[in-house]
Amino acid sequence: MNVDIQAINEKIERESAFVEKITAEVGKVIVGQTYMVERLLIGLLCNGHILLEGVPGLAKTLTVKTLSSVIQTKFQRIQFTPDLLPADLLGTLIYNQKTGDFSVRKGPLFANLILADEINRSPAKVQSALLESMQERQITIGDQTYQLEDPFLVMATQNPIEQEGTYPLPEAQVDRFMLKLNITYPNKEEELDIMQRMTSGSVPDTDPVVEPKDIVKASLVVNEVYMDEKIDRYIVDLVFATREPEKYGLKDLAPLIAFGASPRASINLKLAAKAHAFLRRRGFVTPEDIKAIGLDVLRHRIIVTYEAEAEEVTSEDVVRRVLNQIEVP
Amino acid sequence: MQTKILQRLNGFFILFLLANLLHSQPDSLRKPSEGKHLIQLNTYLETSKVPRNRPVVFHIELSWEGDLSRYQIEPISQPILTNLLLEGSGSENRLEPLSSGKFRAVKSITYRFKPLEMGMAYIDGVTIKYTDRQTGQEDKLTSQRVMVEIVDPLPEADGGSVRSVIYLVLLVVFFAVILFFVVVYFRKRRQARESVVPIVPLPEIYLNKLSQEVDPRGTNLNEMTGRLSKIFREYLDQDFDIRTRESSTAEILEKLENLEIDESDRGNLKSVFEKLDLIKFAGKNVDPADFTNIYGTIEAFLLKRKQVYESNQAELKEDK
Repeated sequence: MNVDIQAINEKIERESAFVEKITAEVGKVIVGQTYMVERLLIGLLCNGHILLEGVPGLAKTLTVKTLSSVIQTKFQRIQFTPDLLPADLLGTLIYNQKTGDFSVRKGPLFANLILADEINRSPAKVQSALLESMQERQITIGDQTYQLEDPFLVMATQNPIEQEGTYPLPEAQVDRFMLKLNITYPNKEEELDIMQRMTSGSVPDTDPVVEPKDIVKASLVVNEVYMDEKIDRYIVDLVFATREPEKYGLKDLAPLIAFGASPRASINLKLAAKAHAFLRRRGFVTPEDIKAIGLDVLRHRIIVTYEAEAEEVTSEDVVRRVLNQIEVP
Repeated sequence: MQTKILQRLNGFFILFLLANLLHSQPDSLRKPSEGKHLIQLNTYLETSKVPRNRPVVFHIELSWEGDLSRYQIEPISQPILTNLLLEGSGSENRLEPLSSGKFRAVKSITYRFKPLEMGMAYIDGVTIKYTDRQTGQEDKLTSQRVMVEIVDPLPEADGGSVRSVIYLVLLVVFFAVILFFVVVYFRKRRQARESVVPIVPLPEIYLNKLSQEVDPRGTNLNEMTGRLSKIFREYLDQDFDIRTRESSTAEILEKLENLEIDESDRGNLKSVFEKLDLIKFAGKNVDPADFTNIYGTIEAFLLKRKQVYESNQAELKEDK
């Protein structure tokens, strides 16, 4: 069983050197939001996508845009509206009258970092087009299929305060997002810093510190992060506790959970925990990584019952209970 | 002749007188069957001077010779009152034997009035209608207006002092109950304290467990490390009341920051937990030297805690 953890650690030490550089560069523009930046990196390293929920004005766009410039990738922001069509995202064939041929006009999804703003404002067919592209990492226009470039990260936002005229994402589609983040307001000191920085007249410039290929390379190293079987079992226990809470001494949660987390949750929890350990420059996963990332992986994968809604118990409360109750290895 | 005339006139006069005599007799005598004067009405007060805080008791009594059923008495209306308020009334019928061997029927009605003000009070006359069942004759009797003097109220009997005694008794009972519960509470607390203090200190229990379940010279050191970690986490959970079973190493270390333990011990425990994590989760085979080091650190910590327990117990005994 003896794993050469030393070698993995050395590799990680080498490949994760960019993490601090990215954090520092993004920190020039963005105040706070280290949680969001770290989760974005986890998404990039695991080829996962991120669903973001938070009130407007929390620098979601600026963060992704800054990150994109720091890692030298192409950034696209798509504002989802009710009249958006799938072709507006994917691209379409344009007829060229001069040549008499059809030429391909690629849509904004042909980028590395995409901010799908207010995804729930568009109808289901547009959402499906985006989610399919996210899943398949390829887009078909006409009879031609195009592979999307790595890294490819979609960060979709949902505005939680205006629900009128929206098309909430179906649970099956929400499940496709690796992480769901809840972005909260900055604290007083951060707010002061933001205010002073943004009204000084000049926005600080960022320098590119890493190339997209470094991210891709790092994501391969993430796969090498060692995860002991004990941790695997711990993940399975956590996921099963959301499905059969009574078997894990959480009898009171049983009437609050309509549907527990899917196997996709277990897979994503494992991948995200590995990436988390990588960001901590550790060659193996500990329960600490699971606990740190567990809430972001599980909160959108648990459907609570009407009873829970009536008692104002959210899926987040359920996940917290599970994380605090299940015995760690 | 004159004598004869005088004799005849005397005879007429005597006859006239006799006739007049017969006519002027009472009805009862003259027509006993009609019974006009057989029924008598009598009204009286128990006392003519009544204190303001006492009731005025007024009796109306109807009596006649013979059976009770002889007369049918109409319902008597309430007397008109001045400076009085009706509190209640009652009635009774009785037969009283007479010396002649006959019976006297008595119907008695009693009223209780509450005086309103000091001074004079009046009960107006009461009219009682009746029917003789034998003759079917109807008649009525009316009483005189009665006056009563309402005087200064009497001091109340010992009601106030009785109430005070009751209050006093209740107060004593209340304090007795409180005292009882206080005594019971402190007795239970003392018993609990005595029972909580373990005969064998907790660190000693875990030292024994450690020596019984973990063999430092065992072949499978990875398994032994797992057991060692579990026992030590369990001990921390029990002794410091921190949920170690569900906590990650970082969470345990954070909790240890708030505990009253030596800084050097805290550092040692941090190092132990980091090493345990490395062994448990990094797929690393345990180096016997590392294992001995971890075991030794945990054992030393438990021994130190045992000493703290023992000194605390000694202090407790001294306090007692």
